[in-house]
Amino acid sequence: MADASAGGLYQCLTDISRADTSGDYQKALTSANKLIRKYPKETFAFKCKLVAQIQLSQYADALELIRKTPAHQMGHVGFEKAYIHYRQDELDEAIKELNTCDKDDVKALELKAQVFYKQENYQQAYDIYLYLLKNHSDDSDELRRANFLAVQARLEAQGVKQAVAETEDSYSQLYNRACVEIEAEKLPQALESLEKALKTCRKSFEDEDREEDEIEEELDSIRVQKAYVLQRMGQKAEALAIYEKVQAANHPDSSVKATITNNIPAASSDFALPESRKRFKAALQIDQTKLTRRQRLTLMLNNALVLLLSNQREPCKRALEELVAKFGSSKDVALIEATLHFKMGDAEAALKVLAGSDLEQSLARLHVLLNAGRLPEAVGAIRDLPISGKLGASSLLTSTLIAADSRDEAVKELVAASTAKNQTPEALKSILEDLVEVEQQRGNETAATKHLEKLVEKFPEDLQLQCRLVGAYSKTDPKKAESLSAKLFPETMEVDVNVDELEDSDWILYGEKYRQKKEAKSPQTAEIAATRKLKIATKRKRKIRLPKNYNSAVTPDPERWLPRQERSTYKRKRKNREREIGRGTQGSSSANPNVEYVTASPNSPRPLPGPVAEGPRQQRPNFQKQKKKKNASKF
Amino acid sequence: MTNDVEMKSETEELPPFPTVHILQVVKDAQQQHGLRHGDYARYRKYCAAKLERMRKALKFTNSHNCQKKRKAKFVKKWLSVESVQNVQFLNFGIFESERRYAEAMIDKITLEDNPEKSRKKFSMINSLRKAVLHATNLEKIVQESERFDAPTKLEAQAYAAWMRGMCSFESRNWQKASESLKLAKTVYEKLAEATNNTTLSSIFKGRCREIQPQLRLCEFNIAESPGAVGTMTELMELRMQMGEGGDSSVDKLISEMRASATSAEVVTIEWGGAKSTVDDEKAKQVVQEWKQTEVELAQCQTPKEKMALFEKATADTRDAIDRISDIIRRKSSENADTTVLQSIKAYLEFLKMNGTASRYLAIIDNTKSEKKSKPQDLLRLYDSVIEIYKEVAEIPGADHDKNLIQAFEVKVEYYRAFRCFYMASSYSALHKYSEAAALFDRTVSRVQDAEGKLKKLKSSSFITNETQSSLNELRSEVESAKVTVRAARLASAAGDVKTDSELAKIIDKRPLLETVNEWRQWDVRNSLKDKKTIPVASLPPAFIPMPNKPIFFDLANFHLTMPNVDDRLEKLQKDRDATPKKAAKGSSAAAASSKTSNQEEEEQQGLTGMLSGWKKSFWGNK
Repeated sequence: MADASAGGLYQCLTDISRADTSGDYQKALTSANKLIRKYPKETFAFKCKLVAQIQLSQYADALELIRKTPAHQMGHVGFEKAYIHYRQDELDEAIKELNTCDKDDVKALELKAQVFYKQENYQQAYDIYLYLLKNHSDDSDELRRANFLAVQARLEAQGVKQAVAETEDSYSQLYNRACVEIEAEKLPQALESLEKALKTCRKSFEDEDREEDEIEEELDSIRVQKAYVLQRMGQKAEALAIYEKVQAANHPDSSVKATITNNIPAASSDFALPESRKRFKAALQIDQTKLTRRQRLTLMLNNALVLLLSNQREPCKRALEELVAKFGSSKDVALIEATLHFKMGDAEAALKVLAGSDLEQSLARLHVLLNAGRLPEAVGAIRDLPISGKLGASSLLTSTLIAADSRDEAVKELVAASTAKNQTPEALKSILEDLVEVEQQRGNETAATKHLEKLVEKFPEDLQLQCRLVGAYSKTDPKKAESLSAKLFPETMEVDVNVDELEDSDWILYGEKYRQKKEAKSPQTAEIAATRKLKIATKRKRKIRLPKNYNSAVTPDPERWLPRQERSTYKRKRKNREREIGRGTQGSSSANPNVEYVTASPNSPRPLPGPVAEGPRQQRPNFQKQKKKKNASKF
Repeated sequence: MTNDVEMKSETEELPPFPTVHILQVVKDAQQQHGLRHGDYARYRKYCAAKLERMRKALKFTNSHNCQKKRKAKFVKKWLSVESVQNVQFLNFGIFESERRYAEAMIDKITLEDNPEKSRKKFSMINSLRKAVLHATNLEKIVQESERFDAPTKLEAQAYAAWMRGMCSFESRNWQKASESLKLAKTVYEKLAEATNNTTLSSIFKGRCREIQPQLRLCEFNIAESPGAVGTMTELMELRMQMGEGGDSSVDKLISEMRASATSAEVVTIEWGGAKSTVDDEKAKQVVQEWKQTEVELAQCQTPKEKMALFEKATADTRDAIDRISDIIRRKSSENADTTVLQSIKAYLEFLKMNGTASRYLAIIDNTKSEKKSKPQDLLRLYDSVIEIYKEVAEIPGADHDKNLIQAFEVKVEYYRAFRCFYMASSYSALHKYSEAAALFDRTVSRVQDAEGKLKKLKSSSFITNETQSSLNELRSEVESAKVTVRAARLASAAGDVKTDSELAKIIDKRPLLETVNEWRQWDVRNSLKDKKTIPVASLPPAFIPMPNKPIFFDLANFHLTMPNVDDRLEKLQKDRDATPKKAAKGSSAAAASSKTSNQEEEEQQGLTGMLSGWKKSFWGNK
């Protein structure tokens, strides 16, 4: 009987002692309950049960156990109680419980630092961690140092400068160091740290034979942070690719999800608005304790922006009101609200919201005035800017004055800008060109010519300016225009241009393709000439016979071999063409017989010349003379 | 007495007829039987056949009876109030009128095609009179009978009035025609307003539109005396309103006006150094027409009206030339003297060429007045003008007049200058600046030549459109175009400047804060006009990115461990081996073991912390 009882007790004690090693707290809890029921004298069983319940996250049962059990049986459990409150986000209760512990208790200090971190009371957490790192050392030093770096990152975000040591060797420390560098705006160093963290993380996880999914999951967190750094450095395309890849992998950490949801609209300019709106709604539903206060603020701001871009005015208004209720009014909220009013066509309300006197709100107010078309007020707003003496503001003021038809004031502004000191050549050229245009629009050609002369004087290599000066001179001073154009064009006439051919040709009426046809004719002419040369080379067997009445002094008719239609004396075609002008279609009957001219009778006192006869034909040889020749040969 | 009483009661008890739409019947018949294509012969045959079929069907045939002292005589059976037993009897009146009207139209068309068949005129008028007779009879019957309703009576009245109007119109009784047509138009307008039927309403309105130009012509004739000259534009409007192939009385009226003006005069022309008297009426009219055209040109406002006038005068001149050619050919066969006719023919050709050239010049003015005229469009027109003026010098007999030869040489040079200018403009439009510059220089020399020649012939009567001021304007245009072409040529030679301005536009969306020290082309006016946003500030503001949280480990979990139970296990082991005697010594042993258990607990805690730490960190408890 005693042996059986001893065996049960032994097994329970064995289970309890192994729980910390194997993590099987459920079995430990069962054993503790058995001990309490069968062996009431074993008072340590109560504490065993408490620890098991805490490890199994049964906080309500644990608190109930603490309340029921007498103090003499449970012992001092202030640390455990504080831990329960910490896990249940009751941070003030946790602090109370921790204050009941010994001041130098390492466990209590560790938990207190964690509570302060969660309360965003980073300075006290910093002090505690500094004390612990100096005075205490155990196997958790590496992780404690990572937590210390995390505290430094939060302090840097609040504006407290941090000096970071160079002794990191684990991926978590490298990652947190990168967080510190991000907050300190040292983006290249942060990128370098993140690259190291990626390598170290993969290496250490592979050494422990972890699964690929776990490795990728941890690496994705570091990748998202790297994408953020790239985005801030201006490499938005690469950042967007990383964001989309991690988003497709569906990271289990909701904090990382919220970061991706928030940063994708900021990285791309053509994201999908409806999908983004849904993701923002999901991101806002995340447990608020998982996000920092600043992260929540940023999420709500970007949510309001997405609603504004989706033209959902009422939800955007409600989002802005919620923002102001939670975090108070700020500059970003004012800008979004002003944009909302401006989109709804209420420029007055937008101007009311932008009542601040800082530069950004002044520029926003100017933006509203200009785009609403209130030019006189816009002119006043530009002049009141602290940057009103700069070139950018001067150019905007000039353009606004021109739009408001105050060209005289625009000319004054342009003259003042052109006479200012320390001008770059490009800016000066632009100013003077604008001055020329405004003067020409005013009809003041003389002043425009003067400014063009200044331009040509300062930029003598620009040929376009000289051409414009020639054009201006042609209106005000033709002599100067002639001399300058003669200077620019030394050769008045083009030698290679045949003006007669140009004037007589009419290819320009038909287009470019007909010109190609005419140009294609010239090589054929060369071929014809070559053919004629070949023909000339052949020798004649007998001399050329000429008619006996041939007179070499008289040249024969040059058109004697041409068809009648192609001769210069042919006119019928032109007459017929003229007849068709007033006539209808070609089928209409035309009663116009050919007129035959008859020579005037000899009795007519006023003879009129008849139509010009056709060209003279070649006379044929006389056959009788040939006969005589033959008779003579017989004799 | 009893018989009379019975007949009266029968008459009073007869039911009324339904409405007869006479105009609809007429229009349907016309549309289906030839008049869609203007075939009046087919229409007349249809009416005759229909009348014959109806007379047989309704047994209302004409008779051919024996009379005293004669073998036989045709006796027409006229429609009367008593004979109308059915609505279809009205078709006799309708189609008798339409048959006669069709005959009249056939005669009219024959008369237009062959003017020598002047007897057709009387045939036409007689046919119209018979049509009027039948229409009037129809109206009388419908008005007297009590069985027809008001619309039928009105339609019959309008139809008869229209027919009377047409008869008077063709007979040139303008007053009667005007009154009748007005009555018809008024009745048809009332019918159009009163009816709810859209088809009938459109038919009535169509008839009103047909009557309107004839009515205006009647009023025109009534208002003006035969010898007066009316407004030419008004007559032209009437003619165009009638439409081509319509009533030719406008043309007749115009020609009658001219004939009456010229019949009393002797027309003499001078050509080839000799004066000739124009005996032919057609040629005489043409010569007078050209003088009249000069007066009418002053009244024209737009180039299009000028073009129309020139076109008509040129066509008439061409017809006259054909006529003179026929006469010359006939007299040549008779071996008669044709010198005078040759001279007249040459003069008419001169007039025709002048008219054609003037028409081209009017077309040029019309083209220039258009907004989107191209230089290429004017080149061909100037070519035509130059060619025609060259041919004027080749007319037989033209060389007798040195003034004429010199004047037309000046004209050719004048228009060559304009042609050269537009040729250069065409090259400039095609971005061939070197050719354009060369041609502009050539234009300047041509302008100088034309100016020199024009000064010598200031008093010439042939030079009318060509002026010194036009040449001065052309010279100033050439000078400015020359400078522009040279500047454009140099700009193209200097390289492509547009890419720079394009680059400036690309980066123009940056807010003002980013370009504080740059001079930018804002273009506020055009941005406001096109409703584009002027990028002064980033409204709405840009999205704000945010970083991840740092990794934070739950190290307190490492300190949460089970109490140490090893000493209890050792004790339990000893209890198994020990006898009951050793129980008394257990209390002191327990006290000793408690001290050692503390040390062991610390060692165990270190190991546990290390292992659990790794687990927590890798599970991501942040």
